[in-house]
Amino acid sequence: MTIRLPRGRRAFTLIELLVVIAIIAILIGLLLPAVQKVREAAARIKCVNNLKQLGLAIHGYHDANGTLPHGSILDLTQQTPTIGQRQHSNWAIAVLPFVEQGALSAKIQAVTRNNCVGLPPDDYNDANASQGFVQQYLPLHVCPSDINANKILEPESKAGDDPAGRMFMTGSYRAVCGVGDVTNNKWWDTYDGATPAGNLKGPIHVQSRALGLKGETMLAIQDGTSNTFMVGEYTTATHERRATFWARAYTSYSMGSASGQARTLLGDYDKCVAVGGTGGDNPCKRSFGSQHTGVINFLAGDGSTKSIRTTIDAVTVFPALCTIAGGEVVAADY
Amino acid sequence: MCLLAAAAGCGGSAANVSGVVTLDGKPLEGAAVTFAPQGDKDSVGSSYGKTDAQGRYTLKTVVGDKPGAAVGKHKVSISLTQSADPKNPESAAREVVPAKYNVKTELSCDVPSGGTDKADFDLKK
Repeated sequence: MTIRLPRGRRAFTLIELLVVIAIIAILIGLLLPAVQKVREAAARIKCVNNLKQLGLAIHGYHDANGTLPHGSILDLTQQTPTIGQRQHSNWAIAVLPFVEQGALSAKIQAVTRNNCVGLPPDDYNDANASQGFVQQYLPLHVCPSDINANKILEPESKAGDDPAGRMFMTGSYRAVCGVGDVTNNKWWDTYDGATPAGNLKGPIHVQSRALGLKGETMLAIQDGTSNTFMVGEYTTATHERRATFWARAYTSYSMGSASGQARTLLGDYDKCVAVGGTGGDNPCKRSFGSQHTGVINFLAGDGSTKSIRTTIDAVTVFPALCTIAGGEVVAADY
Repeated sequence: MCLLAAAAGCGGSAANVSGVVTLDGKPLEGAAVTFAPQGDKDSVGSSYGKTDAQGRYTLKTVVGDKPGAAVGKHKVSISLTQSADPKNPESAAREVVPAKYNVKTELSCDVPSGGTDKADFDLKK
């Protein structure tokens, strides 16, 4: 049964071949995860760099205007704004001139000078904006790990008098507007008869001249700028119409809150709703989260970036990092 | 086997936890039970469960859906929300369980390393 080979030539046996294949397979098995990790690390670095750019822009805005940017602005034609109303501009639009997007900022101003008397010059009416800029792709607002990046979608909810079917470009970063009052459904991204208590306020929140809600200053960050987050990541693995939309002023689409619930740091809207908790799906809409492995990146008030674990103490530590003057003591090694 | 599981679970160990939730003596169905570990920053994070018709829940970790909860002290919150006004998507979901059991929780639980199936909570309105 033995196969005779011509003299002087020796073929590989099956065993030898199998051993070589096995070694190659083991090597690939070892290397492939490493390559994947390096790719993810590169994505994370890009993602953090975007946050730093946004930090510089926010500091630039503060230098030029004396306050931090507005999260969004409530309709001034209404003396008693309620939830479900139109909201104008947002922090990402406000800082455009400081990220070398002066042209886009000028375009927004040119097309949206409207009935909102008394708003800052960067005003834009969320409800009136059929213009293309809400669908503008800005690499600055795209985290490479974000699976919803570069999608144009209709956000899940809208103001009562907003036309349906308006499409927005997704984004990856939300301003930190504070800690929500989950039981009473009060949030710093909108106004429903009241805001949460003052010590739950974050650095970049909703503003309204009628309500006396003004922009915060660096001095107002009494908890310390390195202990207060200004911007964080949010994307969701499910329910993409609940993702972040960088130019969307309405409620939570460009602002996030801490809710004291671990389910809101998953980066998965549907799972957050399924886990459940006080407030139902409202805390989930205002989440922070990422598609990185185990961490979410945040920009602190001093311009530094911090990666927090998704398993961070969401009840006490994370909310403390989202307020400007809550008076909490935060251990440095959270 | 237990040692192996503990060694493999990088970031703290977990133990199986289940129990029964009652409100004024009656089983509470559909409630969200959350265990948030206190102090240990290397833990597996919070765990959650939903109660069935008998009020029984079994915990899984929020991150990763692995069975059990971190060993050690936890703050426990129990919440049951009723559907909000369907006409207004931004309306609040109504909380059935008093705030002292969720937002301002007074409940705590010490999870032993061997786990427990008697993490029962008898709530009073």
